[in-house]
Amino acid sequence: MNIIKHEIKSSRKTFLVWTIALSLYNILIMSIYPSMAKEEAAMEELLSLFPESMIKIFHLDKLSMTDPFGFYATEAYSMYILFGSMFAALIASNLLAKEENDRTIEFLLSKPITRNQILTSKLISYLVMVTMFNLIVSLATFTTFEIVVGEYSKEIFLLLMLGPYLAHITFANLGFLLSAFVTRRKSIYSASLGLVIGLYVVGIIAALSDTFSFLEYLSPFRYLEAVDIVINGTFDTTNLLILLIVNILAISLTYVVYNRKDISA
Amino acid sequence: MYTIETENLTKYYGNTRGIENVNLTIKEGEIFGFIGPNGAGKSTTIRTLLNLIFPTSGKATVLGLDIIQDSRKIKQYIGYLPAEVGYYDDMTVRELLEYSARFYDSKEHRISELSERFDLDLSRKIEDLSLGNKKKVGIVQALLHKPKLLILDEPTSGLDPLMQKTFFEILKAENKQGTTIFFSSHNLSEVQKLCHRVGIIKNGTILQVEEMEALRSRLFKKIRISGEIHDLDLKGILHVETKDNGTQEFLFNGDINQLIQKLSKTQIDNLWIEEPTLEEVFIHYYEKEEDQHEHN
Repeated sequence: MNIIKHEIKSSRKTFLVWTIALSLYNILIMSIYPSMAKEEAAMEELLSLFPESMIKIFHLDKLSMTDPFGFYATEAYSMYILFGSMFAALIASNLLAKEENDRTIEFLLSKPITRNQILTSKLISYLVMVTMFNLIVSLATFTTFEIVVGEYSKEIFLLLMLGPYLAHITFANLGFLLSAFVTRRKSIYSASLGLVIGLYVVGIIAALSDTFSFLEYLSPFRYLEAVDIVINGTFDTTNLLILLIVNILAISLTYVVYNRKDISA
Repeated sequence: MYTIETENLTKYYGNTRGIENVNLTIKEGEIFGFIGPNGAGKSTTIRTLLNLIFPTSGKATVLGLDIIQDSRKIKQYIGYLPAEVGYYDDMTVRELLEYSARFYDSKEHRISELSERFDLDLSRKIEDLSLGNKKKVGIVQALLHKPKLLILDEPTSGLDPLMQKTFFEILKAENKQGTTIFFSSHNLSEVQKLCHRVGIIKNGTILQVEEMEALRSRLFKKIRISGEIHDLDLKGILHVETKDNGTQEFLFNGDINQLIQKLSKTQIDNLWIEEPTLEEVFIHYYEKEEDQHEHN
């Protein structure tokens, strides 16, 4: 409990900045929606000017910009899932890495706690922060939907909030795993950001090119596409299963590696 | 039961040697100085005892508990000061010490008492502290919960002489109350004021463990004399060297009064009596040992 309190307190600024920024982003985007919906004809004309690849990336061939979910899926969802994943990976990987980078791990490991207790405290800390982040952004988005949209499927809305949450948790766990290996502050920042952006780009390449479509299995973003949620009204069970395995593996591997590693001097 | 006992403790970092077959026994209630030049393996030994790193082979116990299996239990009873102190920059001294105290079962801690003795400002942020002050925070943090064993890695580096004195006084007081102290240093003269026993480590192996008294009687002074001097013919003169400028240099472990009396009868330009470096002491100490063996 001691460590958890300490971690959440020391990460509060980062947490607040990201939570406020993403909440505002979603509120802002959805506030534009009513005026966009009114200009249906103009929108369609605009879309016809988009290059085909853009249409494909944003799934504008399947989604309608004048539908609230279609609009949210194209304009807000992908940014929220991407930036939220960055936040999650950064905050989770920083928790372990900073202790070694700042040599505070020598302080922590001289206290009567096991490495497992340290790991579990850190794990709980970032799960709490990522969950709080998602709750707050979702609440802000929900309020905006209530005000500007009115009638809409609550179920799909919930899934559209849940998708990013699953991605955020996954990237937090992957970032945590990275930080068992990479401990220099600069390196862990670039490593965790690189992981998120890298897999995002892999997802885009898989969507654009038929040759590389096999790559989509590598990108958690492809498992949680907004277009699938809006059209199918559910998550793909296989995708969820794969994500679950990835998360379990990442966490177990972190525990295994960290319990055996030499803390660098 | 020994407070610390290591059995052929060995640590390799890949192919690089850290320590090799270290055998040490530290008795309850003693102050043990762990002496060696930089890179000798002092920190490696200490960090292995704390399970920050894992031994390649060999084993060790602290307070009768296995350093790997019972690491958490061990830490309930020890205080540790790392060689390079790193603390949470954005915390104040008080916040850090309270954070530290909360890890222990005992609700009794000595934050105000100890920070007063060390003249530590509790309201300052860690990041604004000088190296010496950070070190003080580290020492207070290590003493907070009245540990049975204190492990201090180069505790005096960065402390000014006055603070060093306070620090030694506190260590002596803690020791009187039964705390065993194990600390490393590369400075023998600093340690000899405090230790009951010393262990010398070099290139990852223990050269010698010795009672301070016995060691002191064999300690050398480094003497340099400039001026016309004739053969001094005294017991305890070793390794006489004549420098280009005519200065004579030698190590001396005989009776210093005899040396002064001899010198007073001659005309010299200058005289230096210095502490030899650790290397010098032990190189010659060992040469002497070998000499004696040959004579026997």
